[in-house]
Amino acid sequence: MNEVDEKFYETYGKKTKIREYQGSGKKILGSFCSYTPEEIIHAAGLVPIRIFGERTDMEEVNTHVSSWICYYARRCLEDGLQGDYEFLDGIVSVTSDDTNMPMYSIWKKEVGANYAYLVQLPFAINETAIKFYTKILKKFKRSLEEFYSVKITDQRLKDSIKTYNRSRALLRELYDLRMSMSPKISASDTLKIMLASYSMLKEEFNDLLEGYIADLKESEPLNDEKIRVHVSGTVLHDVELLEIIEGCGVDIVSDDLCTGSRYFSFNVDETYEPIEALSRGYLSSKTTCMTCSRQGVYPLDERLSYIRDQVKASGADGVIILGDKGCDLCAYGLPTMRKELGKDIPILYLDVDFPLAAEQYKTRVEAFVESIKG
Amino acid sequence: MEKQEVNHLGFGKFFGPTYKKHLTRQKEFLERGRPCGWYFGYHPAEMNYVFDVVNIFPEQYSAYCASRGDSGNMIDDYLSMGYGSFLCDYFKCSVGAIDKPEVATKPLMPKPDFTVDHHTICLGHRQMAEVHARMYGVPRFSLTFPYLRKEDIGSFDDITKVTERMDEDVLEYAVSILHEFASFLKKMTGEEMDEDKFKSVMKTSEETTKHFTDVLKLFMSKPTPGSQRDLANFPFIGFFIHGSEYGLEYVKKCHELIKERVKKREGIVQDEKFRLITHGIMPWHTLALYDYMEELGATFPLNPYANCSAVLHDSKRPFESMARRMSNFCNVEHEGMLDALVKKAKEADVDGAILFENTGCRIVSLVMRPIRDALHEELGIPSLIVEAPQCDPRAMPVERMKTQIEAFLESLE
Ligand code: SF4
Ligand code: SF4
Repeated sequence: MNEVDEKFYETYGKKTKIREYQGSGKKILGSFCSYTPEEIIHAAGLVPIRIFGERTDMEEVNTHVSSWICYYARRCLEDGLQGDYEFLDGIVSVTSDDTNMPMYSIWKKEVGANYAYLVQLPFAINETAIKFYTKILKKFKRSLEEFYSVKITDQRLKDSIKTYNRSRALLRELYDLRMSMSPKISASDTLKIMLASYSMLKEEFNDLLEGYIADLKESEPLNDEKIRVHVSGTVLHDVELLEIIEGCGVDIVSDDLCTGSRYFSFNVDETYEPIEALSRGYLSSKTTCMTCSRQGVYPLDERLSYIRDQVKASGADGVIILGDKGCDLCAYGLPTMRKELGKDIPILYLDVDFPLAAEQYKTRVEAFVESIKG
Repeated sequence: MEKQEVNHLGFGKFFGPTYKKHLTRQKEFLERGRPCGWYFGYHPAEMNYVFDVVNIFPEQYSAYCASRGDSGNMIDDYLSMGYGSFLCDYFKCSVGAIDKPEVATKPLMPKPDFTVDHHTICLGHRQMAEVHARMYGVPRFSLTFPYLRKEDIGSFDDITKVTERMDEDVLEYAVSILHEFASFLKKMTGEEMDEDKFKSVMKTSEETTKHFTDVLKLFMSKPTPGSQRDLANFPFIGFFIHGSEYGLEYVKKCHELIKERVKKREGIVQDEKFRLITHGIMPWHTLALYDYMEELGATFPLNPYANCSAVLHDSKRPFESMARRMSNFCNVEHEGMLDALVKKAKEADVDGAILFENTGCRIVSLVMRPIRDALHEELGIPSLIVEAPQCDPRAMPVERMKTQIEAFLESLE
């Protein structure tokens, strides 16, 4: 077992830390979106984790949702219905899209949760929206305080914000090492670390990651010369898929995944009153799923410009878009994205379907690599 | 199963002249160079009549294309552009129509000067609007009302949208967005808002919504007084033209007809065998499906989709009234939404439900199974879920739908 698997991936795959926290009486809350203001949950002394579905055979879920809904939602619900998340005390979701909102309700009823809260997004980015979202977050804080009989003081919030900012900074550092001209870490290993960040308390994760980054800096780069690629998509947690791509002579050097750079692309300004700081921070993210946007701006332009910046910074030779046909957030913008990005850089679109058709993906990625090599 | 004659109320005969007036207004305004907006979602339609903008509704255009049998070609073109199958049928048709006007139903929609999207039916609307705005390179305004939790409103009436309470922060935010919207329209038209006109449009709207909501309430009478064909044009009025004189005229006439029929205790069929809920966007390409069900003695006193387009206004509180559109069935978390539905189902005294799952529409499809379960758990009544994309006749052949429906009705007997 390599170091990443041992230190990080086990915490996700075997839920080692979660079991440990549970054993010490801590309550675990699961969320469905990168927009969830985890800092507030953390400041309440609870453990925020992200829900992912591991199963690919859909049995129970088809009784509750249509078969064409995104894989993320269906797999989460399947695992929930099969009892894989019985350790959760509650769930928190945000109103980020037409799938996430009903998924929250369906989970609440069919899987069950002692505590359930839906955080309402303002869908806009401006001062009025920030003010509104601050109030929404205050209500969320009050709800946690009442339900769990805790006092979330400003100091606790500030500490949590600091911890999360530190986490985001470390993840950026890790990504830089992946992005360098001689990458020191693969994307599949990076994803394993990301998954660990969703499966343990951030302070512990930070300590682990800090040590790991220090070692990584001293290590030799991954040696072989490969094609450099940016990966675009939403929620990806299937390490195997990245391994298939990497196995075709590709270094994935940047991404705009929800489970990747989008998760840490913003910072929370610690000079504001803490809840307002969170409101400003989360709404400042330029990499939204287009759910909150500025008036007068096409959200897709913002996403495209984020991808272009990433591609420029990473020196990627191509972009691989990982699509889920059931994800409307991606699907509405997909042809435009392909067209616009395709003007500057070769694009490969892969339809992500389960079980993963490894051979088919391999053939397509290999052909893409060959076409880039010319 | 034995067939009966369906005695429609005949709302349809009023609609032709109403729609003609709407088109005439659009034509005249276009000739006068008034700005043209494309509207996506359940927007405060009144503002269009205050600012005299040409109001175009791509969804309604798509439904029209489907009813004319043209949507297949438009959807094929949409697919050839690289879009996926699991998006809204309305979007498919309107994008196809822009890309390949030669296959689209005429008259085409006039080009927009701006788009407006509103998210209380679905968040998909904002993405649809963005795609269309980009296609034409025009500005876009988003009415970003929040999604509601049950705690924000308590219980609510599915028809009037009157809520037990309203969270102050949510209301304040929604009202502020409406003011921003007014500023946007000022910018688009280059004109100030005429306060007198605003008052008068809101008065018209108030009157319209009174008639409108009453018609929907009367629909729940026993026996069911109207058919789904009668109701088919209601969403157009409710979603798009509240505030217009011609909309008011239409609902007034409909109201008179239905009142008369309810007074006489007449139904659409002699022998009302099953009183059912129908939900989901109507399959516009085959409204005859409703005729078929009604001929078999199934009537629909309750249609939450049509109810979505209803709201009761209070012209003394114009902005709050417009904000009330937030508390519609699609914008409230399932718990609240299902409570409202079960309450109405009890009032309407229904025996079951036929639910149309619109492939590609998440907000509608993801509520179908929860509705089925709630009706079963709370009222012990069964539901049939039929896959029915609202504009694509090829995805689910009508004959197959009929077979499923007939078997369901037989099981109810
Ligand atoms: S963003 Fe896409 S993948 Fe995520 S929940 Fe929504 S539809 Fe599913
Ligand atoms: S049919 Fe569904 S996806 Fe399409 S506009 Fe209506 S609610 Fe939205």
